[in-house]
Amino acid sequence: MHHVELAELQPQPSGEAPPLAHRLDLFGGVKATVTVSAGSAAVSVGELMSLKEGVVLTLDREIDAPFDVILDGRVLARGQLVAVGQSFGLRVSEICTPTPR
Amino acid sequence: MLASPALLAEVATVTRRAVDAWRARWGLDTLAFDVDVVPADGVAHPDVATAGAWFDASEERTPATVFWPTALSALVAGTLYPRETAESAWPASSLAAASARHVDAELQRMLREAWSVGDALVPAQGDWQLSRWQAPVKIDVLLGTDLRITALVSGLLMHRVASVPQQASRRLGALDPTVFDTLTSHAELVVGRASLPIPDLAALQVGDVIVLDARIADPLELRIQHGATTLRAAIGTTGPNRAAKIVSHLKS
Repeated sequence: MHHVELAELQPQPSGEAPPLAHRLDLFGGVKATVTVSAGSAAVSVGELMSLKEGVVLTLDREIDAPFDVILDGRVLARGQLVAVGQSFGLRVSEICTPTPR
Repeated sequence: MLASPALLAEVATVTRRAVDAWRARWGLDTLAFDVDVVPADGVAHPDVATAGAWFDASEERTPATVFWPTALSALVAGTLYPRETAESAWPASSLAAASARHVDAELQRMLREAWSVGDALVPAQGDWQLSRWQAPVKIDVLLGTDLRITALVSGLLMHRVASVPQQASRRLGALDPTVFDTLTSHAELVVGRASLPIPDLAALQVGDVIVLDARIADPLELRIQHGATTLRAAIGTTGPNRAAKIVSHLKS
């Protein structure tokens, strides 16, 4: 047996395009979890401490406003809430330029 | 020296006031309590049947030794965040249990403040030791139906404090919770989630339907502080806006 010494690696920028660039098809096994938000409410600490069953919070979205599809804090899309069997679903009505909320 | 009836009444009053302020602060008005103050024979710890621990505040400005029942946190958790009969008690690692421990510690702090003799009335070191346990009194605070906090305090020193109303009032005054009203947080009503392969997500188009993990019949998740705290809520409307109605207690 011999001792193995690892060489120190130095990055060498190449002029070639990154091999995985724009190859999203290679990431089919990676899943991203999106969240659908109905809206939010600004609440004070005092209100939070007194929250209990039956309390109604008014959200910052009007009834007919689309619901946000959020990935990592960014709105990817918007849409209408629908029923899919026994579950909620979202029919996409707008694809957004992802920007932090 | 035995505690006089007037002294016992004073001790009972400041103790009741402290417990009442604690209940009001933490929304525990439904938690019944009673206070009993009697002269103590000595300063030895009286026998206590329930599990708990004695805390001796001899090094502080509160000449008191206090028995704190172990089950108090569970009582607070059960009162603040009731569970269904079939559900087990909150696990120790839950946010509800952690909140209850904090509220439990707050009661201990508020009682110690109520029993404090304060800065101005602390005698010189020698005198302190001699007078510390003059006219000892035994205080029982009964919480709920069978949970008892027991304390021995120096009645004489508390009597001196009680004769200085402004100072006693200042020490009893808990921080007004309304000072936090200007601090705001956000509660977000989450309809549901979906896990999608990245290529599918990248190809998302208008008209596509994303099936979420939430059932229509179930309450939704109300996330507070980016999910650190979660409640369950029903979605609905109020006026022109969507709204969330809280339907169950704290989850963590």
